[in-house]
Amino acid sequence: MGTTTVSRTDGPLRSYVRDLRQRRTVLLLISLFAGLLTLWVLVGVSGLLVFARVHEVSTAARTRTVNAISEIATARSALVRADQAAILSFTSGGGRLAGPGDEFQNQVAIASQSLTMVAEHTMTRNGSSTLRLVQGLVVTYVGMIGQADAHFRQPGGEALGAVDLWHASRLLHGQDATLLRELDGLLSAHQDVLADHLDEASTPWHAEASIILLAVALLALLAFTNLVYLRRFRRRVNPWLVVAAAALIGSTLLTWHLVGSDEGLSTTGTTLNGMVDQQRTLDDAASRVGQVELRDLVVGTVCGDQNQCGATLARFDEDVNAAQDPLPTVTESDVAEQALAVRAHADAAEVGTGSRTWLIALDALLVVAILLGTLPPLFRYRFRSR
Amino acid sequence: MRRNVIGLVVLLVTAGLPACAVTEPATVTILGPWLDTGENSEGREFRTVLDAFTEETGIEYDYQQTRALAQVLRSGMASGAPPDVAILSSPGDLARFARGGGLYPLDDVLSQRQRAAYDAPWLLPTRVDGVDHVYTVPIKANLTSLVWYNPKRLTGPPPGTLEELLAFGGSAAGSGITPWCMGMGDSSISGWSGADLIEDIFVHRFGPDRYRQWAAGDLAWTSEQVRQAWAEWGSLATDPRAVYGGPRTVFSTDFGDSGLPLFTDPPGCLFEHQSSFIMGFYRDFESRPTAGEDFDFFPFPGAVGTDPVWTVSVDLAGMFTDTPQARSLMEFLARDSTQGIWPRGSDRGVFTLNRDVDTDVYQDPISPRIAEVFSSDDPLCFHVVDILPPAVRTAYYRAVLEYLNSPARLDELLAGLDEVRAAVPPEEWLDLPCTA
Repeated sequence: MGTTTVSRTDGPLRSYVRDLRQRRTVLLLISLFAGLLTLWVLVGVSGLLVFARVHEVSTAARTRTVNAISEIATARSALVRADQAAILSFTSGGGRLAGPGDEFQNQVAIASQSLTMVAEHTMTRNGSSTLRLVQGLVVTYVGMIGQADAHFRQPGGEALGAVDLWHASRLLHGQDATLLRELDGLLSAHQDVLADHLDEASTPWHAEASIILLAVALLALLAFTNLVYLRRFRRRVNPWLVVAAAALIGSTLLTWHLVGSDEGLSTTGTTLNGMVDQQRTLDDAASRVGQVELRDLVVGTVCGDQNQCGATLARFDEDVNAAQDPLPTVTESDVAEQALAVRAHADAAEVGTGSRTWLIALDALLVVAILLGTLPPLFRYRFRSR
Repeated sequence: MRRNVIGLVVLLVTAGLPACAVTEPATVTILGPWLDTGENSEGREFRTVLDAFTEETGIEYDYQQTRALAQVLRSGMASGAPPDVAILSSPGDLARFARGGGLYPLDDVLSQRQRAAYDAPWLLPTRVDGVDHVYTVPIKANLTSLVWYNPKRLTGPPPGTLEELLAFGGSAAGSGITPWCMGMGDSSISGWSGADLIEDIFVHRFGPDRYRQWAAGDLAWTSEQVRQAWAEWGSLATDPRAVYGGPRTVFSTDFGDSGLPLFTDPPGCLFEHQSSFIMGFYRDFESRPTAGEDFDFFPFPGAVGTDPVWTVSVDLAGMFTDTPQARSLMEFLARDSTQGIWPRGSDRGVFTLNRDVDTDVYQDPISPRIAEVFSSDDPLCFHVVDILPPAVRTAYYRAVLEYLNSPARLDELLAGLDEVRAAVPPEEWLDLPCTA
C-alpha cells in the first residue's frame, strides 16, 4: 500500500523534473540560436559597412581624384612645353613662316583635353570655378601668342612681337594669379582630397578590434553550441555548424582583406605624388630653357642695350639670372614608368563589387548553416519531449 | 488608416521641401580684377569686405581673381557657367551683357534708400525691352585725370594749362630731367594706360560733348580732334627726350613699375599720368614712398579757356546669376556700412562713390582731396575705352602699342581703327554721358 503510494507520488515528481530539464534544455537551445543569429547580424553588418566605406572611398580616389591629379599635371606640363615651343620657334627665326609651330599647337591641344578631363573628375570645393578661370586664361594665352605671331610676321614688328610673347609667357609663368599658379593651386587642392581619401579609407583600431572580437565571439559560440549538442544528444559533430564556422572564417578573412586595402590606395597616392614631383622637375628645366631664350630675345629686340630697358624687363632679367640651373635627375621615361606604376597600383587597389557578392554569399551561407545546424535538432527535441 | 499614413508622409515631405531649399550649398562665386598677392594687396583687402559678408550671412564665397577679366568672363558665359557676380571696370561691357540677357537687373535687390546714395550713372541705368532697370553697384572708383609727381623734385608750381604741361620738357622749369614716366604693360590688356592719357588730352582740350561723341562712335578716329590728341600724346611718348627710356621702354614696362624713376636719386622723371589707384603701387616700392611727402598729384590741366572735367574708371559689380546668394551679396555691397570697409582699411587709394560714407574714412593727406572731386559738381566721364565695343577697344590698345613702335604709322593706324568702328553694328555702341 505504502509502496504504491510512494510510486504514485514519484511519477508526477519525475515527470515534473523531466519537464523542467526539457524546458531548460529548450531554453538553452533557443538562447544559443538567438545568440548565434544576433552575432551573425553584427558580423554581417560590420563586414558590409566596411565594404561600403572602403568601396566608396576607393572608387572615388581611383576613378576621380587620382585621374584629376594626373590630368592636372599633364595639362601643366603641356602648357610649359607649349610655351617653350613657341619661344624656341620665334627665337630660331622659324616663327616668321611657321608661327609658334606644330609642337605649340599639339601641346595646347593636350592641355585642353586634359583640362576637359579634369572638369569631369574634379572633387574639390572650388574646383569647377578655378577650372573655368584656367580655361579662360588658356584662351587668353593662346590669343596673346597669336598676337605675337602677327607682329613677328609684320616688317618692323619684332620688338612688339617679342613683348607680346613675353607678356604671354608671364601670363603662364608669373607669380600672381597666373596659369601655372592656378593649376598648382588646383593640384594642391586635389592632393589634399586624396590625402583625405586615404584617411577615410584606413579603418580605426577600435573598428578593427570590433571586427575581430565579433568574429571570435561568433566562432566561440558556434563551438559551444556544437559542444552542447554533442553532450545533450550524444551525437557526432554537427556538420552544419562546422560549415557555419568555415563560412565565418571566410567572411572574416574577406573583411580583413578589405580593411587592409587602404595600403594599396596609400601606395597609389605615394607613387602619384612622386610622379607629379618628377614631372615638375622636368617642367622647371623646360621653363628655364625657354625663359633664358625669351630674355635674350626681348632684351635683344626691345632694348638693344640692356641698360636702357625699363624696370620690368630689368627685373625679369634678374629673375632669370637668379634662377638656379636645372639639373634634372629624371627623364621622360622615368615619368612614363611612374605613370604606369600609378595605374598598376590604382588597379590593384580596386575594391570591386565582387567582394560584396562574396561577402553576402558567405554571410548567407553562414546563416543558412546556423539555421540548419540548430533548428532541426531543436524541433526534433521538442516534438520528442511531448 | 492607410490614408492617414499616406497623408502624414505627404505632410512630412512637403514640410521638408522648404528645409531642403534653405540648406542648399550657400556659396557665391565672385570674379574680380584685384590680385591677392599678400598682405595689404588689393585682393587681400577686398577679401575683408567679402569676409564681412560671410560673417553676417553665413554664405561662403569663392573669389576668382585675374587680370584677364573680360576674357575669363566671356569664356565662362560661353560655357554656360558664369560667376555669380563679376566686377568689371567697363560699363559698356556690362550694358551689353544686360541687353543680351546675361546680366540681371537689381531693381528689387537695392532699396530706394540704397539707390539714392549713388549718382545715377554708377548704377548703370539701362533700358531693356522698353523698361528701365539698374544693373550695377560701384565697388571702387579711380580718378584718372591726375598727374603724379615727387614734391622733393618738382620745386616750382605745376603746369596750370594743357599747353604748359605738353611743353614742360622744353621749359626752363623742366630742363635737365626727362619729364615723363610711362608704362604700357599689363598682360593681355597692355596699352590701356596710353589710351587713358590720350583720352585725358582729348577731353581737356575738346570738352565732354565731343568726348561723348567719340565714345559713342559718332566721331571718326581720323577726325582732326582725335588725331590731334594722339599726336600730342605721341609728342611725349615717342620722344626719348620726353619720356624715360624712350618709346620701347614705354611699351615693355608694366604700368605698376613705370613710376619707379620718380623716386630714384637722381630722378628718372618728374611726372606720371595715372589713376588714383597708383598710390598703392607707389607704397609697395622698395623705398616705401609716403603720400604727401614723396608723392603728390595735381589735376590734369585743361586747355586755356576750358572748364574742369575729370575722367574716371569705376569697378562695377554686376549679378550674372539670379540666386539668393548673389542677391544677398549685391545688397550687402551697396550698403553704406559696406562701402566704408575697404577705404577705411586701406592706404592704397581706394575710393567709394557712396555719398553717405563720411570722408573721414580716408587716412592719408592726399585721398580726401581726391574724394572731394567725386562729390563735386564737376563733370565725371567714364573712360572711352570702358564704353567702346570690345572689338574697337582691343584694336585701340593694339594701336597704342603699334604707334609707340612706329610713330610714322599714325594715320594708317587711325584709318584702321575707323575700319573696325565701321564694322561694329550700331546696337553695340553706347551713349553714356558724363555726370553733371
